[in-house]
Amino acid sequence: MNRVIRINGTEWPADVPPTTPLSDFLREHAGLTGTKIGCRTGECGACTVLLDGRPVTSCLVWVARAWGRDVTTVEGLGDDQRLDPVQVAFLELNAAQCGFCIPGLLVSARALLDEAAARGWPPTALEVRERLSGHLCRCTGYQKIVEAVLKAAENGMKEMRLELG
Amino acid sequence: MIRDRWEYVRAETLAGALTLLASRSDAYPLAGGTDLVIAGRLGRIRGGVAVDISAVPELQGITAFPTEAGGVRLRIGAATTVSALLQDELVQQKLPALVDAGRLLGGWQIQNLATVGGNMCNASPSAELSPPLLVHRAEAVIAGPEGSRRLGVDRFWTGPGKTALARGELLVAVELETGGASAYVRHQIRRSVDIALASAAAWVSVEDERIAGARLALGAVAPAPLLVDVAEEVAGVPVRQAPGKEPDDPGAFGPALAKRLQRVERLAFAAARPITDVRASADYRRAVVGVLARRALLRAVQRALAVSEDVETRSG
Amino acid sequence: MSLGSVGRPWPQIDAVDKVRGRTRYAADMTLPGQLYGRILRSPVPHGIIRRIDTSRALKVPGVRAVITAADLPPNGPEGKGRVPFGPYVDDWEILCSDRVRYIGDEVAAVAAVSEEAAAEALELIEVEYEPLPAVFDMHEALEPGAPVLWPERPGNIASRFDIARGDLDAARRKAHLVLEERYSTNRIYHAYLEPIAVLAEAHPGDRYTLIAPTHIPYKARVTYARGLGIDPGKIRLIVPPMGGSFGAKYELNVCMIAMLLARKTGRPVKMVFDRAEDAAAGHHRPPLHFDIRLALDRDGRFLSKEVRIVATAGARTMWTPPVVATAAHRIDALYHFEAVRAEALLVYTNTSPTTCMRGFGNAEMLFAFEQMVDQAAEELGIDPVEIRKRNAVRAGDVTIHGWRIGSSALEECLDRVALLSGFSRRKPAPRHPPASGKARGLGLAIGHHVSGYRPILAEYDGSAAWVRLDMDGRLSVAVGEPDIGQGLNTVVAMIAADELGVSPSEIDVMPVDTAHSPAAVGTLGSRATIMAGAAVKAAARDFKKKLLAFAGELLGADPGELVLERGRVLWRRGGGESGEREGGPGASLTLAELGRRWAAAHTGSPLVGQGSYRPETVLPGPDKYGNPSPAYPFAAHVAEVEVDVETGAVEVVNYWAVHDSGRIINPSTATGQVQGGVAQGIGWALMEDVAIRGGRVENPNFLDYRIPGFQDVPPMTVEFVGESEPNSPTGVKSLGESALNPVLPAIANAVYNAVGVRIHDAPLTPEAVWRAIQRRREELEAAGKEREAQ
Repeated sequence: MNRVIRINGTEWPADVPPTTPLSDFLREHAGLTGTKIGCRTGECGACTVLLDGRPVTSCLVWVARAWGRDVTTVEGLGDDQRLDPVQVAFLELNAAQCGFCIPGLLVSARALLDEAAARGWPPTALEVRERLSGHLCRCTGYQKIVEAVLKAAENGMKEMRLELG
Repeated sequence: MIRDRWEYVRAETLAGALTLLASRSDAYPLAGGTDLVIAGRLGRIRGGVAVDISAVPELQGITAFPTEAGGVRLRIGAATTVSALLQDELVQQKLPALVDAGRLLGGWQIQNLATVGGNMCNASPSAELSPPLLVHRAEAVIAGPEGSRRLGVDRFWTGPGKTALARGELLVAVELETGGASAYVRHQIRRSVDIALASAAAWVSVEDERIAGARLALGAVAPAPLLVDVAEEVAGVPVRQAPGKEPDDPGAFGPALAKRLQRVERLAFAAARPITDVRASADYRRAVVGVLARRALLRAVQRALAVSEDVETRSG
Repeated sequence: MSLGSVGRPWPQIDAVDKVRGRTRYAADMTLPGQLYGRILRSPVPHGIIRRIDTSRALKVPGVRAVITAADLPPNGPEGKGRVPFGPYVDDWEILCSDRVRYIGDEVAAVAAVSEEAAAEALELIEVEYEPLPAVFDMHEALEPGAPVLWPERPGNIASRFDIARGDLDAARRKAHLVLEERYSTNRIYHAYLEPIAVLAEAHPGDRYTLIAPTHIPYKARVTYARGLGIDPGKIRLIVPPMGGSFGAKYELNVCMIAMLLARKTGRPVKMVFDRAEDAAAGHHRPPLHFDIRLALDRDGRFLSKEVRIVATAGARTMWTPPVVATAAHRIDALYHFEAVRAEALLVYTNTSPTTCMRGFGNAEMLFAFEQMVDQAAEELGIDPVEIRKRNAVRAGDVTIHGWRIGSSALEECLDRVALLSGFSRRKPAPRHPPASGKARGLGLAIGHHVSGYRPILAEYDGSAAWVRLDMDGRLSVAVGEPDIGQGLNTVVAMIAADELGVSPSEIDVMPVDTAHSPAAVGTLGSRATIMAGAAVKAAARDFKKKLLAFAGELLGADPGELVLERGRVLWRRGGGESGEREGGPGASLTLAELGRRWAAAHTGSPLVGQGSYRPETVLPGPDKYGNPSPAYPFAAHVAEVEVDVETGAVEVVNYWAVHDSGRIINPSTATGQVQGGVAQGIGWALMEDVAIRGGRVENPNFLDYRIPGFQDVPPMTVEFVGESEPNSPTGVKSLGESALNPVLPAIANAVYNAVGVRIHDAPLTPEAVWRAIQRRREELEAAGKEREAQ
């Protein structure tokens, strides 16, 4: 198998020991420290990335399981000039306080919104709460995060993107 | 920090997987990794060879096939992720208890990794999928060096972390009967991701507004999930939606069932052999599991009568 | 100011980095040549270290240093010997010299080129312990003959706090009702998402650079300097963005260990706790035990209150002494009493040292007292809202200890929260717990706090700030209070922006760095917004004065005719004659021009405005009489719960919080503070509990130490009432801690209202509620049988 991972659309050689946690590979080898480590046992959700579009706790995924696959991290949302609508909504509504849980939440929220877009109707608040329940946040009480995801769902359907200055 | 050391090997075929698993005494099958990787990190396993079985073709997919009796049987590959299980339309229609349980198994990220086979083979007494599999009379399809065999899941789990799998054997799939209606409820401290303090799954079939058959299984109250024989208690009991009652109300489907449910509760209470640990005391678990048994049965009856669906599957 | 930002919802100024994953927390930083440090912790709760052998560990490839107590530098008088030290009580050691006192006590440390090598080396350090009898329960620790942790402190008393005022006997004689109750709160883990992480570098001349999250950098380096036997000025402490703390990341032993490893190896050392280590040895909120006697008259007026508190310090003393003092008497600034007495003991046990957490003792006391207020209201037949109004302090009041209430909208909070929640629909609590189904209940509680607390570190009263214009026209603000995630930087930027006529996004708030920030005690005691905000406001005014004077020179204008708005200085029209190109009404200079020309005229210096704020407080003397805080915030909360009477599970289904925090600078981040505080309160009330058995934390993970998740916190209604606080230059009071303080009793009162069972011990887990319901049924049954028998 080709020991390469496509990270945020770019191919990265990943010829490290196959049991290296994907979270460590992203942070230490790919230089993508946006993905945070909060527990290393899949309980906090801070290390969540998308593997072929689906949220997974990257601390529990060995690099070998990501070879040949697509990984999206928070750095893959938006681009240098624009923020993803979900990032805009989190920013505008102050859904982040300390911010440590936010990168993982953002990629899960992105996946949730993609899923909703594919089926054609926006998620409900209850659905957002169930889908994101694998993420812990100690600062916000979750309400602004839920509001931000719902707002992004609205904006996302309209394909709105914020231009950064 | 525990230093677990692993070798990683990827199996491409079932035969290859079996050979690899037989090759070393410290070989472990790796499916979703949500149990094995954590076990290594917490020092419960110091490492070994992890045989990645997630791509073995025989372990994939959910397929339906007709039974001789004219019903439908479902085969769920052991490497099926919980997310795939939840998205499968046949599972949604035919195995509602399994859907209830799958939705409660970890968060979305875990559901995208964890597999049906992994949940079964990890053999946690509180595993979400076990009680639903028990009430649906699931059969484990097992492959091994000596060939393959089938085993009812009522004999699959033998204790905490223990299964009837012999060394070198691999769970390939699980097959279930469909028909009837089922439900799973659990009790937990946190409504978001948590481990069951106690859980119950129930299956019923209703014919002509009477209960024709019923099964009950309990989780987290014994070294292995328990099947409790309740068929005789509720067989023939008339059930009809009582107006104005919540589905959790013992009288929701008439006084006859309400009365029998008290006995079901007592049976569950008597069958439970829970432990006290950091999560809950034994006597509390025992008291609660009776309540869960009753609620699971009520919800299964509700589904059998195809009345409005209550999607809330948590008990508390 | 029409274009002002203050009072409008504003995104955090650093939110773009946060949502892009570009915020660099300590663990995200890597220094060249960096080593990884790890700590060997005691596996026994109490014992004597007989032997340590590090020789095998040193042979592990990649290991650069292994240190034990033998490697500690002298810190005694005249640079000789080792002496214990600590922020409140001198019982810290950095590494245990001869004795370990809890499972997790630091015994040795390793630095290696990889985490794996460091972990391997830890396993190869041989330590022989001679076990000593241990004590884990604070009540047992007080008993005669209990194992003693610190021979120099017999009786296991780490500290005590006593206060008494008024004539207790006289007050009690008037009593119509006396309630005597026992309550307890439990050990809580702060459970920030970012595990503790620090980086240290050692430089020649005993100098260090430390990158470590802390609320109190200037205070922390004093403690560290004492531990290392050096001058505090030799430690440069840089505070990186913090992934949550809530009081845990004040002063941490690991910082000194990292510094020593860096010194020994000559390389930067990074230390990151894993979650189990963090949860077991990263310190907790202390468990508190209350015995309270409250006397009331017929009208429900509070006469006297007597309190005895026992609290757990753990094996060493961190920040718990002021927590216990707060628990003992802060309630006296919420309610009036004719006489009060409190005694509080902080007790050593062989458990992980406890420390402060959001709410700081006040939340604990409110859990007990606000339930007693409801008990009294019920017994006297007074409405819960009314009994609180009758006893609460009001604006202009001076409390029994001399605290001056400058403003209070507590009555408005009560009325508003009652209206929002429909509190009048509340039914009396059932006498018999319902037999089945789900029971709903409403519960009310009020709370308050300080806005800075002068006695905590009187030498750092107030705050200072600088506003600076660089030669490229960029504005920046420096304060000594770190942003701990709550949005302090945004709030000070908003205050500065409004003074300077720019947008908050045009202002950089500098990270706190002891090399070039104003000195301050830091972000604690709900002080940061009022103190730093006032200092920034003063600095901005000083800056503006200097800027306008300079612009006036350049333009030939009287500074009084100049205005600063939209990023430029404008000569107002109406002066008469039209001027030349530069000079005359209508002429203007941009900040960029002014910055460049100021630098040119001042040999490169930036234009700096300085300001400070010294609050009008009265430092309590030895009799503890005074006014320790410039302002007091208030809040009233209502919780609505649904109790599953068969399982005991409590769900908070609705929550309303109305706060008087004076003027609100940023309603968006303020609302977020309340929502987060309520969520933490829900966790504490219903599910969180550090379980210790035999001295070992049994649940050092997020699966068994459960903090609330998305599905455990209901949508909350948050409102702010009240006016600008007169004693505060910006009109603000505080919010961070008052957000949490009423939550536990509001939920406990709601549970009582739902099922008629009062829970005296937090948390109200399903099992605890179920047991209380069972007990209540048994009591009622027994009483019924007795009646039949008669």
